[in-house]
Amino acid sequence: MKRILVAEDNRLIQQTIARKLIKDGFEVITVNDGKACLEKLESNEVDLLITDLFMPFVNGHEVISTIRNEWKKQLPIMVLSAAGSEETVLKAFELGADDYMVKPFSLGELTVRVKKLLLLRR
Amino acid sequence: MKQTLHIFVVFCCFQGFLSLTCLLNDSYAACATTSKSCPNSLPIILPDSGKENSEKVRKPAKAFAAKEKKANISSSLTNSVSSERISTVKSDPSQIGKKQDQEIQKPLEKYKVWEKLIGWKSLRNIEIKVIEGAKPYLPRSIIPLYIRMIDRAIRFPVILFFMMLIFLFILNAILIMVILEVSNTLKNQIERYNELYQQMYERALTGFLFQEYDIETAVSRMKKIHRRRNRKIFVSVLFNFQKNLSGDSDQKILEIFFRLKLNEDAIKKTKSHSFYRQIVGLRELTNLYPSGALPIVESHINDNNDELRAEAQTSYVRLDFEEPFSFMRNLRKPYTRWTQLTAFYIFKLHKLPAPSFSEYLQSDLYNIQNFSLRMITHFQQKENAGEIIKLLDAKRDKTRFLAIKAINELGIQEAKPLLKERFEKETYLNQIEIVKTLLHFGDIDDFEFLEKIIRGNDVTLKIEACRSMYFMNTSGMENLLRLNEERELALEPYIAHIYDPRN
Repeated sequence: MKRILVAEDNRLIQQTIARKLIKDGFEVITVNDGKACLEKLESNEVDLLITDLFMPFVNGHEVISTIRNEWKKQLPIMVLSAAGSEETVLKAFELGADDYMVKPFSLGELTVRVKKLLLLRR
Repeated sequence: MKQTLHIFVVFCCFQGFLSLTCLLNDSYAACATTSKSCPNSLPIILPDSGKENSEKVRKPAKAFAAKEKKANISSSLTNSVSSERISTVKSDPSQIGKKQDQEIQKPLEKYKVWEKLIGWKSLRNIEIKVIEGAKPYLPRSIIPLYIRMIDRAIRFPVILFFMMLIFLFILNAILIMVILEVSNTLKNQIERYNELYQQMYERALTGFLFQEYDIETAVSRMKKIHRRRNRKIFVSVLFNFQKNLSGDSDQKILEIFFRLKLNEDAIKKTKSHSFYRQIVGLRELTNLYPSGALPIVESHINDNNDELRAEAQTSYVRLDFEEPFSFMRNLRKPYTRWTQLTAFYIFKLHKLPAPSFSEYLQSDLYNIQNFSLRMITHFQQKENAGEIIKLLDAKRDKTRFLAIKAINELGIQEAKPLLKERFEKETYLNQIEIVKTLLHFGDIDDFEFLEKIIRGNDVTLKIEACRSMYFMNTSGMENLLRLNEERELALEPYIAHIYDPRN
């Protein structure tokens, strides 16, 4: 079973995503901020990360940068953010994000994209 | 929190006690000196001054009252008040003279608060003014009492003043602490309540959205949902969902919104007397029940309340996908800049197709004309050229300015002769804008017009005319360089300025 880490500070959205992914057959770990996200990534084997950009303590951009530049991990990263400006999207991709979804998003589309990312990384 | 409160209260009491002890020690020591050496010290203030002293002090008081009765107090009051003590001393043959009197007064003065704070002279002046000012308005029988009261107030001892201050400070600190504690407890309780029910409603709603149970089960899991406060919490949960999720969830949200009759609540709110509740109602309808919100929103488009009207106008842009600005046809009240900006932001956020703004250029309201001109310029709607040119005759300078700007940015060449014709009659800002348009679609025919401005005296107009001529085409550049040869025009700095890439 693939394990997915969801880093999202909005509890409702975090729980909704988790519920949807569990229903689709994934194992899900949830965290509320960037710092906890990095800690979980250090201590757990994760197959994919879904992260928000604006989170307390450590933001999404820093999380992606740490994973790619410091840890040199090839973990698939999907960004889920309300910020849809070209600048923000490009920055996330430049730092090493693999996919980007703008809120409001469809849960169905999210699952499809997650499956696609996992398939590509296999 | 409670510990902090206790520590603070104990600390305040201790401080107060310490200050009191110090002051009392000081005052008793001083009182002892005063009562011994000062026979006519104030009996009302110093409790240990004894019977003898009070008897002696009554004398000057009586003398003063007698003086008052004889009238002409106002003219002689300055002297009477300031020489009160001196006359007391003089009237008593047993007193020990002026020098001793001054010595006697020293320790007394030490305990007068106002004297300490503002000085003897000012104090006397104030005393006189206070007494004289009140005299015409007071009954004759009350005047002596009033004078005595003023006298007492002025001779109020420092010790009592500070004691009162300390007491008030402690009382104030305790009161603030109590208020803080109570408000904090209440706030925490409300937060806990909201959090508890929010989680409950979120669970029930997600369960319904993921089809784990049907709508009736979901509703039955929402405890106390009939309460107004809880319905508010649930609406905030729905807003959160609506803001972040799209797709199938929209229909489910609408279903539960109707099942709980939240639409009726929202409609009821829009009929409320409070404009704030009306705004909340409009917002709920716009976000959660868009199909039914339009007629209600439309009815508030011309509301007298600015906030409500702004909310209705902004909501309308979201609700009418085909013609988001059609409400401007029926608008009779001003369309503010802030509402224009918000509407434009929503318009861009939801990526709505840009409508034609030409019909709104004929509006009677100048702010709709201005907004439409801005939108036409932004969306490059050149097909509205005829309507834009008509606005060169608009009454308002700003509207004409925006029309010239639109002509410039959309490159409406047919307006050029008219612009040149109107140049002399236009305002200064509009003149600058007209000169700027020639940079984009000017030609050899316009050299004479620009040369006239260059030969004028206005610096800004000269700069813009030079810029238009220089960047118009090669012949324009040559013409400007030819003009530069005329020494009296002194065009060197102007050309250097426009040629500088920083400008």
